[in-house]
Amino acid sequence: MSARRLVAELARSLPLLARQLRRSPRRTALTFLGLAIAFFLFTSLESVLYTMGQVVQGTAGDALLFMRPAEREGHWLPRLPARYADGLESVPGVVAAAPVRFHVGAGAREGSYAVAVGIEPDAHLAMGLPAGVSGDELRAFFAERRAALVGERLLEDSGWEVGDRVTIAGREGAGGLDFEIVGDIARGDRLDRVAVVSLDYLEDVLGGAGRVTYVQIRVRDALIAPAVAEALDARFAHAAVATETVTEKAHLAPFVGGLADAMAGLRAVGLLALGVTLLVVANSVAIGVRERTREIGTLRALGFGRGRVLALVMGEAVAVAIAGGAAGAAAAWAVFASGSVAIPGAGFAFATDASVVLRSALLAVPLGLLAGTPPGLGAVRIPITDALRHSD
Amino acid sequence: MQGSAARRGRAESVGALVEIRGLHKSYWRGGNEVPVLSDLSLTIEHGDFVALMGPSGSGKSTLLNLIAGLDRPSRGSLRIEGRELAHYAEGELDRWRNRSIGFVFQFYNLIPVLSALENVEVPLLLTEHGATERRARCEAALRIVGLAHRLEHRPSELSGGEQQRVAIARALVNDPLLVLADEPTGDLDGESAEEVLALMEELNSRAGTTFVMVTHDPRAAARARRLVHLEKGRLA
Repeated sequence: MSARRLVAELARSLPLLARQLRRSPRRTALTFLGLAIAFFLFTSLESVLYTMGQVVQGTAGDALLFMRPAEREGHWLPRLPARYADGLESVPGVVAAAPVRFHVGAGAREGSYAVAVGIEPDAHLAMGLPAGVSGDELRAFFAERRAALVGERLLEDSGWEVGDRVTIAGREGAGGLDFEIVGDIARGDRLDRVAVVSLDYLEDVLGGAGRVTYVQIRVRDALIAPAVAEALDARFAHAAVATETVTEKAHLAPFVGGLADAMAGLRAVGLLALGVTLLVVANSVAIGVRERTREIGTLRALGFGRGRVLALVMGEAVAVAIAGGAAGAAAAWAVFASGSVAIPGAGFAFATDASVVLRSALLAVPLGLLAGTPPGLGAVRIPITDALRHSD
Repeated sequence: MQGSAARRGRAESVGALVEIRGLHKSYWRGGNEVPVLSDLSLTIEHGDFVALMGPSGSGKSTLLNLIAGLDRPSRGSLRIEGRELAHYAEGELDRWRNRSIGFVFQFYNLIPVLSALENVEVPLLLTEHGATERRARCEAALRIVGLAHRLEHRPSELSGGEQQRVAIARALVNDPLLVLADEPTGDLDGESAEEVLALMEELNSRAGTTFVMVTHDPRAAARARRLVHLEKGRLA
């Protein structure tokens, strides 16, 4: 049979296929729903993995180094002497260095986090301005000790606006951090989920002056970053707090790696969900085929060969799988494209990409084919005369 | 539909429509060969209306299935228009059945989710006729069986007699050589059965449609031109 004829014949059989799907609307709807949920879950997990990949990839070519205590226990605590940043520009390849202190407070929603980052404005901003900050906002930040530049996502999560005077409440009974929002950092910047305040002010409020979480260092070229990191660590090898200077990729690795491990587990869960759904679809189609054994016998008697009947049964499975898969993947797209899925303090929101969604949705085709094959083969193996005698 | 002229043309061009010689059919059950048809010979001419009668288990339906190419004989010859059915490969047999055989079943065997028109269209889905021609053929077939006003009704919205008439329209729509009817009135009340038999009789006498009908009903058999009795797999 020529391809053109095959397509024409399939097109002629489509109404028959569509009517079969409407034969048992409840069964079709439940199968569709199961598929949509499984594909939503799978596409969501794939989107999270995609984001993690983007974060790692995005830092690969960056000329930023992070100097942190070599002892990694409690690495978000301020344990590195801030003075380590002094004079680092004299190390060959270093363009600028600035101490940074993290403070994790309570977020607007119960159980959530809000992160403040204390910086030395002159030193830090010499490495580059956060995106979207205007000259006036920057001047206000420098002029007012309690001023803060706040990322758009944190503004949105907390319901704050530029000009507000707000507090990041301390966690577990600790004191709060008050500040006035004088400017916003654009969405997409690495700081779009934090409040940037002066390090002096942060130390005044929280205590522990002179200790920071890490020193951020910009080098002249990403290619020389490893050599510069080695030189910096050698410089502090015998200091009170030995250092470990790493690229941004390595700096985020524990977080990214830990999450990636979890995600690999979740990907397995996602695949398992698809596997279970495959069985559900196969069962649903098998029930449908069993219910209309005599009809299939009639079609065979009227001249529908085994291949055509198999195609009809598999077509049903593929059609419902594509519909459910597309709906689930589209729902995941809607959720992830909005940028509302994030882990507070992570510094980025989970995102997705058309290719991720399309790839997930396209899995519906092999899933439908696999699900439709056993009942389809079962349908065409029954001798026509037996199928015609089958009682409903 | 090409109508009776085409069928009469075929009748003039070849000899017997169905020639059965020394036909045997047996099944294997529990390691034992169970003969169903034994050394059966029969000829059916174009335009004939044959009623196959006999007690249950006499092999009537088996013979019908063999003539339809739904089953293969164990031995013997079964030729339709001079061609040995056993020589057809499965795919060829499917195509041949689609173009040459019309079926009328006891329980109508309509597809419940399709309208009367769509049910009649099913065999045409395998042909190369365009949508317009398919519709025209289906409407014509339904007009012949007196259901031109029921095109969009589903089987559940039709009476038993009407459903069987839709099945007859489906059997006729491809202008077949032969219509095989297995107990076509077996599930109908007396009045509906009478209507269906009258329709078959009319199609046979006016349009030259060849019918082979399996029946237990003597009234149905009386409408046929020829009566063939089977007993224990042999002509009685």
